[in-house]
Amino acid sequence: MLESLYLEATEDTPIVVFDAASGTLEITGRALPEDAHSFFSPLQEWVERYDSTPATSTTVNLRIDYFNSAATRYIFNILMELEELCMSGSAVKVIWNYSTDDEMIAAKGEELASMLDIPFEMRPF
Amino acid sequence: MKPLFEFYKELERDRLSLIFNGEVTDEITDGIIRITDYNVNNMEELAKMRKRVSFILLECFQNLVRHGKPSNPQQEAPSALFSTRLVDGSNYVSSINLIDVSEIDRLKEKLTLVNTLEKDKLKALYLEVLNNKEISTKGGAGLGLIEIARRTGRPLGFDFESLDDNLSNFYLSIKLTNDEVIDDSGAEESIRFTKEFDKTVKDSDILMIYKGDFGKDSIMPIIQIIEERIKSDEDTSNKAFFLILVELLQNVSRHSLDSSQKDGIFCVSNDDTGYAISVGNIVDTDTMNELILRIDELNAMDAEQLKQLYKKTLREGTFSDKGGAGLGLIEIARKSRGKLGYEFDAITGGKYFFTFNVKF
Repeated sequence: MLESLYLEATEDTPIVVFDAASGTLEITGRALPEDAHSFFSPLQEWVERYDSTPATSTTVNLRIDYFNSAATRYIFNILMELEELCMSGSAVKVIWNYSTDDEMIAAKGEELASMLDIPFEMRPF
Repeated sequence: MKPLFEFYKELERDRLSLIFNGEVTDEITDGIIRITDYNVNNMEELAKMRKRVSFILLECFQNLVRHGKPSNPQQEAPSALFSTRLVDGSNYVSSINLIDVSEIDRLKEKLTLVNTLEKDKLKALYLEVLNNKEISTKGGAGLGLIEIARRTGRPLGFDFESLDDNLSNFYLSIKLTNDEVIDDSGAEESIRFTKEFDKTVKDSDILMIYKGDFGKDSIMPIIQIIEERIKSDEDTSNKAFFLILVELLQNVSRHSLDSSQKDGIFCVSNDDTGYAISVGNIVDTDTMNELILRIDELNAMDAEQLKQLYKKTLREGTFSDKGGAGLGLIEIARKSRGKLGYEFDAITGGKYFFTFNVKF
């Protein structure tokens, strides 16, 4: 069984909770790392390994208040990875949490949703 | 507005310069102390002043909070023009803020006194004031100023400029050096610099100028200061502005000529039409040509074309360790107002000073 991935938030990186047993992948907070590669590579590798032995259903819970472009790119890549899992018949769902007064994050979610073939729920709070 | 390259030349010898114009809240204070500390801690030749720097800055801020007045009634914290600069072996700290004219005499008297006292006399005065029961409602009975004088060991520069019957500008300037040698040069020069900069900054509606390291550890406190600064502006839906700024600053860091020395400068201003950000750094000819090509290309596109290019780049763009494969520039073009502006000024060694002007 793949071990859970848990990362504490820092000033410029979000909280990450990836739990293979329950199939929940959560990213919460600010994603502004200057060196996005170092931060996101382990996440991406984790998802690649998860894909080979996924839980019965997978829920991706994203609640990000700030993105830089590099972080957007890596998050998009992770979602593409999960899109493949979804296409192979596994149940995958993405929940995009956004504050009702945050048009920018809402628009970002809609844009990503339009580029992915994966169940994508926009969830205001 | 004065071109960024002019500011850059004026501050060329500065290892760090941060000039802040606005309401001085705790978060701002914290950010300014962090950035100065970080730089001092990373410069071996300034090792001896490490312990004193944050202390002096904090005393200055407390002084400002006690005596300073807000520039408009909606503000709670006092407004000030505050600067911290590391030039050669010294840290120059100066502040300009509004005070009640009724405070001028008392402040002048205190400052003149601490400037004339020898080290041991200052200590005696410090102990006397400390034991004195008569502590003013403004706090400290001048302890702050005495402490600053004790730790800098040299005269404090100061000046007043009456604005009307009630208010006066109070200039305070401090020079902190690595050694203990008393030298009274610099304070006057620092006052002159501060006054001159004050005028330029206010004439151009500048909120902040920063010159120095653009590495991650410097950029985060800078981002904190700017985020806090724009919060106090009326229009608070400024997340997009904030993100443009992050992209611009991280861009300098990612694409610096020398990866161990990521120097640059930026300036944020806010006039009737909105915010303007100028960022500058040194690039080589190849980078210049590539930048011109890319920016012109983006400037020729409308919103829909930019959106399509963004999606295409997100989907297909080659992945590099440097980050976004140009995604950052497209984001900047999408979120900004009007066209992206740029200038290249030739400097020595076949290199160019690149100024990127973005409006929001």
